[in-house]
Amino acid sequence: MRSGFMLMMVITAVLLLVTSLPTPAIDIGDALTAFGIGYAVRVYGNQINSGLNTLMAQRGVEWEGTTKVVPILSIGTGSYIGAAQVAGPPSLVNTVKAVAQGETRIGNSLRAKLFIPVSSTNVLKGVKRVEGVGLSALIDFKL
Amino acid sequence: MKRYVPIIAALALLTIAASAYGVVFTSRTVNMGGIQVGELVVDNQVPIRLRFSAGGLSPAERASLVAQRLSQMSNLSPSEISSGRIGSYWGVIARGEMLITADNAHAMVNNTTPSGLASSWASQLRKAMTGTPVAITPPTTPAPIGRGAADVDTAQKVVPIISVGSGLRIGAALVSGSAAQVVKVTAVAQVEGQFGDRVRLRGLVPIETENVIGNLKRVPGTAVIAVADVKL
Repeated sequence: MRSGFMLMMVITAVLLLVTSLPTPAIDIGDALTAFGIGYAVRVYGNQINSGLNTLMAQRGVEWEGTTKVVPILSIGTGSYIGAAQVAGPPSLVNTVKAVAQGETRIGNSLRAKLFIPVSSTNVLKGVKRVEGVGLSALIDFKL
Repeated sequence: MKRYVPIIAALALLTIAASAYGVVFTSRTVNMGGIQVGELVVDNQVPIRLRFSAGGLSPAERASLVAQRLSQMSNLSPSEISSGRIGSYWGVIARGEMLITADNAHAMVNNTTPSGLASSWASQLRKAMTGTPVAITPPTTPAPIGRGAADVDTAQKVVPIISVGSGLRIGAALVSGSAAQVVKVTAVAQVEGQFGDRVRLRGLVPIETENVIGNLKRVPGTAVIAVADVKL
């Protein structure tokens, strides 16, 4: 009887200890490593967007309208190569799914990148541009 | 005077060769909304309009080169113009020679792919050579942010990117928006921040002055559509 009571006490203590420990949340670095840029942007996009808006507000240059963080897709391969913040009227920004990036070289030393907000993440089938939305920030990931 | 005779003769031969099919190819530079645009002119029609540089050539130089290449092909008929791929580049081809590359920048502003743009340019050129009127669609540019897209003159401009932290020029940006506002933009301020250890934030703000030490003054109705950096 006494040993049964002791066992129950030990189990209760262990359960209390386990449930009281902080749950290890996955951070953006782990998310990038494990699941890639697309996942990281989907999960942390809103936080990055808020961080950027705070950063801009501190400089007194916050955007009017709505902002949103979306992945950057290479127009040549369709792969996720970064993220961008877009800004504009809410009805238009809500339709933006990604930013398509095209790259061209001018001479040997100059590299130009063109950014187009698009309404589809499948840029290999064509670029569906969202008019009236502009690029407001670039987000680089260290992989 | 005698030393100019061969040059004049060569030019005359070139002109005769070019006009053998009754078509004259020239180019011109036009100012559209504050930027220099190169146009290929075929019998007073414009089948190809170039807004972006490529291969170290300005839009005007690219248009001039196309006109020159076409002029040098004697008795060129419209059926010899096609679109195709040479190496990894799509473009307009005449007699197996690449006349002009359909680059990504032009493809994107025309809402198409490089292969689609090459096909469109080749078609326009063939039409212009046969005297069929061509209706070239002006490349689209984003409408100003926060405003309606209709009835607004848009423009583009290349300005330096200045780091707010260091005050250094760290690249160049192509800014687009309403023409009245784009004129005011003198630089793009890059505001830098960090999100965690592995995410770097770069806010790009079109501003009125290159002084980024004091308060930044954003130019509303404009946004960055392209950036360029130099390989050091």
